[in-house]
Amino acid sequence: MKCAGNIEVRDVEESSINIDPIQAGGRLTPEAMKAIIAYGDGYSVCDNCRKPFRLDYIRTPPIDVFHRDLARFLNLDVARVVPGARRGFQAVAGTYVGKGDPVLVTALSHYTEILAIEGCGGIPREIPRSRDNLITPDATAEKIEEVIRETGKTPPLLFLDHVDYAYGNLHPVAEITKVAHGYDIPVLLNGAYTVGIMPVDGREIGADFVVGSGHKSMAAPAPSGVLAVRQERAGEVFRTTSARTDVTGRTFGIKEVEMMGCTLMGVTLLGMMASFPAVRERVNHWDRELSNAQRVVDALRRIEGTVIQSQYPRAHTLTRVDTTRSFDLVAEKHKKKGFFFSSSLKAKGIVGIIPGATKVWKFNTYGLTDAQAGYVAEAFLEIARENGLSVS
Amino acid sequence: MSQKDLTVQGECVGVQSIRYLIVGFSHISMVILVSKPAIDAVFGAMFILTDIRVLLRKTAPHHVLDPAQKGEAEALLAGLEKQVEVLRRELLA
Repeated sequence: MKCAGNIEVRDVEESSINIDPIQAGGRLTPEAMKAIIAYGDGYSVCDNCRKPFRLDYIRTPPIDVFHRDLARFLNLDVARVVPGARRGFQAVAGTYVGKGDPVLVTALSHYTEILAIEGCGGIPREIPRSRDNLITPDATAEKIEEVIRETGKTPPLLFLDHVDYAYGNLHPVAEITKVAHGYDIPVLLNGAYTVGIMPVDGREIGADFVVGSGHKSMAAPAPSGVLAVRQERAGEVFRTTSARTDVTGRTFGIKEVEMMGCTLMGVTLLGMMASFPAVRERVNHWDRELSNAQRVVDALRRIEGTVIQSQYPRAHTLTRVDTTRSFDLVAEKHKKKGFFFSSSLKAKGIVGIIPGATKVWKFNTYGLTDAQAGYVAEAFLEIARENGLSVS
Repeated sequence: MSQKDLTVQGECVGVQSIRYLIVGFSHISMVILVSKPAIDAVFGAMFILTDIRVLLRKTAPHHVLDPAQKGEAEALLAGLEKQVEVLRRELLA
């Protein structure tokens, strides 16, 4: 079936169980789907925009309230919606990073953090990961000392991923933040994989800034996200324009420079808003999500030669697995080669693993029903048995 | 804008069901859209279809519904039929 022209209907979520590592937390709630039907037109949120003409002041629909709710949700003071987490990184980097500044990231940082630093002329400096793929407070302190020793500068910012994209590992962010603050380095917590799916308390963690992704973890359309900050930082990151043009003498009210004026103005914002009550509630059921992830992981561990490369037991639903000595051995002899694995899963109605991958791959069980998680676990075991692998 | 202008505008959109009642003469203060039930029914129907879509997602890949889900589907379909009825009445009568 086509939506229009040569655009196929996307029915992956209706026809299959999707365990794609990055898509799970962004699946829309029914409320968001309905809001999108009503607010699909371009500037749909602007019907009732009145002075002072800024997104976070609009009362109908209640965008002003949503902004306050977002800040409260993250236990920080001021929040703005942004077109994706990366735009939140850019806004903070644009405020604090100058040309040649060394900026702390980690060996597991998302590439968009590096690009945000590069865009400001900063130099990314990585905190190394431990052998078990964690960022530690000790490694953070050592790196800060090293950077200060080498450059004579204290880094103006630390980008810290709450849960990293590569292993889905949960890092000791509160302890790391404490170390950074010991050197007066503000911390941006990248909660792209946590804000909206598990509880995140920005104040308890000690973060100066928390960034979340709407389309990755808040059941919202792309690109959407949130940037929440402490009150003492709000005037800096959300500074308003002071520009006056030379010929016409125009000024631009209270538009915020880093936000480029208004940010999300249609389905992205309304989808995010419509999902928010469900999102706020669902973070309280994180244990159930972890239980489903653990169920699938434990099934994989029963397949001889399979290694879970992520933290164990699981502290997140995104998991990295090494099947070099199990499914990849099958691939060597199989007529479909590496494609046998994704093909076998697809035959069972499961999608989301990169076609051809049989060595190291990732999956995410977030949002599956208990029955679907059990089905996925059993499917992995069945595929192993069908291909002569030993299952304990 | 005159009453005639608005009437013409209503016809120009080409939707048979959209009819305007004009309140006021020299100064047009309010326009009542007679086909509001049709508009509501369109959204109502799409929202019900969305709920059915979500049911398909929850039961993927085999879509075997348990008794509670069947009950939910039945109620949704009945609601959808009602919305279609409203649309028939509003647009085709």
